[in-house]
Amino acid sequence: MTKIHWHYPNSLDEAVLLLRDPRIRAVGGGTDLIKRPLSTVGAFLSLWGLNLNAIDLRGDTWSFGSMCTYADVLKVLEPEHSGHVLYRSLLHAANTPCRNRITLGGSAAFAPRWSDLAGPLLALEADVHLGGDKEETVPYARYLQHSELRKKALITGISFLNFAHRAAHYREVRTHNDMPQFTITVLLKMQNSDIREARIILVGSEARFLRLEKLESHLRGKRRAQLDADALAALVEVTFKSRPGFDPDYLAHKAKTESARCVISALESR
Amino acid sequence: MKRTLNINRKDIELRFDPAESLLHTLRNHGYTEVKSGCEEGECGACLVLLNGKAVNSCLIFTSSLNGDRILTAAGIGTLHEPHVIQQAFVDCGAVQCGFCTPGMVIASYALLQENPEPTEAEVRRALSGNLCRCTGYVKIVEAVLCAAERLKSER
Repeated sequence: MTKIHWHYPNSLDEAVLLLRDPRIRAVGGGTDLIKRPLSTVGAFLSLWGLNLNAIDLRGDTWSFGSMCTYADVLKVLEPEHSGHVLYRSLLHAANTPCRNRITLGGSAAFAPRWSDLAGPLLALEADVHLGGDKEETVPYARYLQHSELRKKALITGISFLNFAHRAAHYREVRTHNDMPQFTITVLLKMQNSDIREARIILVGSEARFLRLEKLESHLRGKRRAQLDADALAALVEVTFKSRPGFDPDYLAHKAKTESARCVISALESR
Repeated sequence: MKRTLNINRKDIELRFDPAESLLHTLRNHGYTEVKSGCEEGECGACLVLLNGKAVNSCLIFTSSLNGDRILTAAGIGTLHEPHVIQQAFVDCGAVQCGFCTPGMVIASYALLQENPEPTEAEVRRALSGNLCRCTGYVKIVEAVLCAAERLKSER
């Protein structure tokens, strides 16, 4: 019999208090936990009783509770917002039963190299809402950079502005069920046929979360006819660490090519 | 630990280890139609409906559940009274070794509950979490589309 204790808090305050103990692990979808060695875990804390699964589009802001699953997000965005960057990225993430279980909060907090969520959240310049000693809302980009934020607080929700955009999401996989070696997320704000603003995120490189700023600034004010895929690829500066079965130079070359293709695909999308 | 779950429409008291997956709890209590395959959410052999949604039981701690509704392939239909989906799998030759079949049936059931008239692409997407090493999927997809047709004519 495993000596693991479970806590089932009914309030956020109770949960946050319990999570001060570093041996207590929060469980949402739990898909990342079940195969891990449990020797360092003293207890689990179930988040299912906290009612953190509301979804709301109020004014110009989308808000998602942290316990919303990928399937919940897809359902609410479909079909009216099927061009939305979050829809395009989560539609092919993992597989159908996993999408029914993976939560936004867990995925945003864990943010693995193969994440299909981090790219769109960074491209949307999303905020995460943290419950903890002091309730706080911070940009997701800052949350990812500061490990102390991750340690001391629980993500209770995610929000971002609702604005018109064109988007594309690329996953570098060998089969559709594979965890991606990297993902590329392209979000374009348009003014008629011209790109007003480009946000391009590459997740999974040596830098882990990389914003392709050189490519973004090149795209500003351009339209489709002015773009050449080879020239776009040349603007991508990216390196990968060596991984079993993957040559870093190959991954870098593939990331450059697919970044350019992704921009074109986003421009041609509706 | 002890917990009561509603399995195949019956309240069942389960005893399990605190770190045990739902897959192993179900199998330890005789629900062997829930198959143990990869145990990491890749193959879909252990698929069950949890409160109406298809999930990999290998990725769920039993301890995180209480009073939830579980439906396995045996709860959808039986050998003598198969569900339309199960009969369609037989009629279309969608079963070879049969190991993936309970998971495939659950995925198909979940799809047809939500979308009674799926396209082939929608069927393939719904089955994206289920691996079959025998059939090559063609017969399975045909079976789901056939079941959808039969269910439509029953309505």
